[in-house]
Amino acid sequence: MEKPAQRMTLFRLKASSNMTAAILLILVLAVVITLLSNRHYFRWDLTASESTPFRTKPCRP
Amino acid sequence: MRGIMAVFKKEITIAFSSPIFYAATFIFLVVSGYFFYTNAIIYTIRSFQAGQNPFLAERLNLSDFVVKPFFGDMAIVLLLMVPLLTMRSYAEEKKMGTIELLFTYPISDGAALAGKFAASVFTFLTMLAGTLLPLILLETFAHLDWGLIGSGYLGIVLLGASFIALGLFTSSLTENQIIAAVLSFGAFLLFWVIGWAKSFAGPTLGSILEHISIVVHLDSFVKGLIDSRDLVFYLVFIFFWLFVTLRFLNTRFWRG
Repeated sequence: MEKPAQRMTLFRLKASSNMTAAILLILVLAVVITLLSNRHYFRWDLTASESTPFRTKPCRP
Repeated sequence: MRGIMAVFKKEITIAFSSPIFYAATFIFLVVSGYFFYTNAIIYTIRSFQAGQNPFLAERLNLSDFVVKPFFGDMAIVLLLMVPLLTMRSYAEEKKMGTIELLFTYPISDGAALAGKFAASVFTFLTMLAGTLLPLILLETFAHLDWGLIGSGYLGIVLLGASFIALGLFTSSLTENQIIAAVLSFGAFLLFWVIGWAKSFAGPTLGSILEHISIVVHLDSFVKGLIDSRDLVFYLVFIFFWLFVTLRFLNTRFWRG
């Protein structure tokens, strides 16, 4: 039979693993979103002279 | 939403009644104003020199000599000032024991965090509003490119919000405000300089490190260019650190 201290340790282990997994999942999601945004991106030139070479057209790498 | 507003109002009241906000704003405006003044003086000297040098006269414009460096300088001052705004968010509540009260409110941890984040961003915007004054003053006798200025401010607001999200996380780690501020500053600095390793890291690692660097994404905003990649980076950065903060706050249910 499990002791209360052992059960608590197991519970903490599960909870910390859950937290780590959730953070890693969000990190992966963040990387995917960043990669996607790097593939399909837009640029808007707000300068009065539109001096930068990129206009409102979508750019593809 | 009502929960977020309740926390927002509480945080705003505390922030505006705290001398830290006024001291941080004062220093921020003085240092930013000094940078603006020196940029304007350099521009004036160059203008005199341009009278004898036609090549320089062609290249001389307010945007390149005053406005763009101003945003870059402001970003450096933010690096030092934002930890002062975020350090007390959770650290003080832990120290005073009011965090237990916050957790027993009939609102979720996410709503409390959103309220704190919104209040910090609002406080930051109030601080930033003062920097418009020298630009308005300059506009009275010179033509400024307000599209460029708007883009620059958008970049600064996103950079500040990213710092705030990270600062809230470091504040949730400890109950000591000084430690929270030092951790925030260290983390900001790390994300600032991490891209410098690009020159000696390999091509793949170098490009990853450069992409993580928070200040690299400010460049296009300062040039008057809104790039969706930079916008996405800042939004993802903010969301990630708020999420990590939320998860860390939830550890109170199982930590000893």
